[in-house]
Amino acid sequence: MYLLPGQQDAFPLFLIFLSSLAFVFLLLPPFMKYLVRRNRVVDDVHKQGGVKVPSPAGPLLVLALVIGEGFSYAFYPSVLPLVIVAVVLIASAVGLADDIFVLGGRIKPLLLLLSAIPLVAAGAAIQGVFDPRLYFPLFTLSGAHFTIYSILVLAALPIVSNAFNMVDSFNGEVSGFTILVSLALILGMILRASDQSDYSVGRLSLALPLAGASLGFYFYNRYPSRVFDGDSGSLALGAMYAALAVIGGVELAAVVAIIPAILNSFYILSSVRGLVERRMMGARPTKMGEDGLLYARREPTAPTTLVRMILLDGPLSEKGVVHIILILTAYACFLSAVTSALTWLL
Amino acid sequence: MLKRVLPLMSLITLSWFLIIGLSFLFFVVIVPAFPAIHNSGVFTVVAILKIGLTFGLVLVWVGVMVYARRIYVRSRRIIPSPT
Repeated sequence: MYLLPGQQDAFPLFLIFLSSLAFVFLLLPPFMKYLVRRNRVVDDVHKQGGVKVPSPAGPLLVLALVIGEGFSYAFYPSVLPLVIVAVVLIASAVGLADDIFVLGGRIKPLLLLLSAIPLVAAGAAIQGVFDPRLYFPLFTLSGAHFTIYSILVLAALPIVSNAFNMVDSFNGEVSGFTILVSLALILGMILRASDQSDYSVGRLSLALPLAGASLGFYFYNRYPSRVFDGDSGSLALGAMYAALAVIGGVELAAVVAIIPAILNSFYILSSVRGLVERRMMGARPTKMGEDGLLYARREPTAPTTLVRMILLDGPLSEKGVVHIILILTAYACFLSAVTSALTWLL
Repeated sequence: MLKRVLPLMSLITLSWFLIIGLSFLFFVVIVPAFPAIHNSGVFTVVAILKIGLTFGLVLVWVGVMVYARRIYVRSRRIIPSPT
């Protein structure tokens, strides 16, 4: 156990990051061709002319995350990478079932509860998997309550996974979002490591595959998208993010970084009044004009998404919408960094 | 660009302040003011009061964020599409 990553950690950490990045970057093009051959293509609904895009790339993304965690295990052996892999595989399996069969808005969160079980079970069986206390900036840390904390973990994984799923609507949105929030998470972990002597650099290495895989995916998912991740990708990314926040002990900073996604989910749920699968909503939040720009829908039944709120100021191109969402996410990541600094440096 | 981004940044900042502030109220005011629930029992007045106050804090966040959205939406007219 040692504090901040030293020179001896530079190569392992770089290799863990690079393994996921290179895997996605090199293998996604042949996987996209495979998806097209299998007729696994979906409409890009925000493009004119019926553009088809291969989907889901989620299984390849998940494989990249598993390989990255494998490298993490090789360099920093512990049960933690195995726990992360179990969480990711279960969330991705739920997402894949949703990609193929379209699960209901209530069934999906219930099934996603399963993805939290390996984490809670490992926490109950093995000491040190997570710290059942919450650290807050400036004032205090909570008491250690394993049962209450475990209930919060069980609730958090489906909520965060769904929040990631709900920001997976536009070209490059979820991949850009995940890159930014994973960097905020990594910063939080580094600052925590600088404060606590028993914080292993192995925990930090767990987060690198998330940043690497999402960066590799962004090359193909950015506007104009050449591939979509599907629910199997977005749910896995969300579940991994939540599990990393718990294992890394940076829950509050992680929550702050994804405030745009939380507000998006909260405003959707409060406007449609319940858990409704997004593909089954009565009215869409936006529509595309003949000029190719996106407009906010006028119907009061249209759900209030973050994008609809952005478009209330006037129409925008899809690229412009994603640009604004990423600016808002970067701002939330800045607030997350402030939260981490106030928690661990003061 | 700034016209679109700044109000939404304000919403994010408001949410951040509320998360920090309400957590402070919970851990610094509510938790020390009442005995631990596993000592007092779940179905006692103090336990119910403690749980009720905690839910109250959550409702404050929900209420403020809904109100903030209402102000945001009302301050904007929806621009119709040309189609």
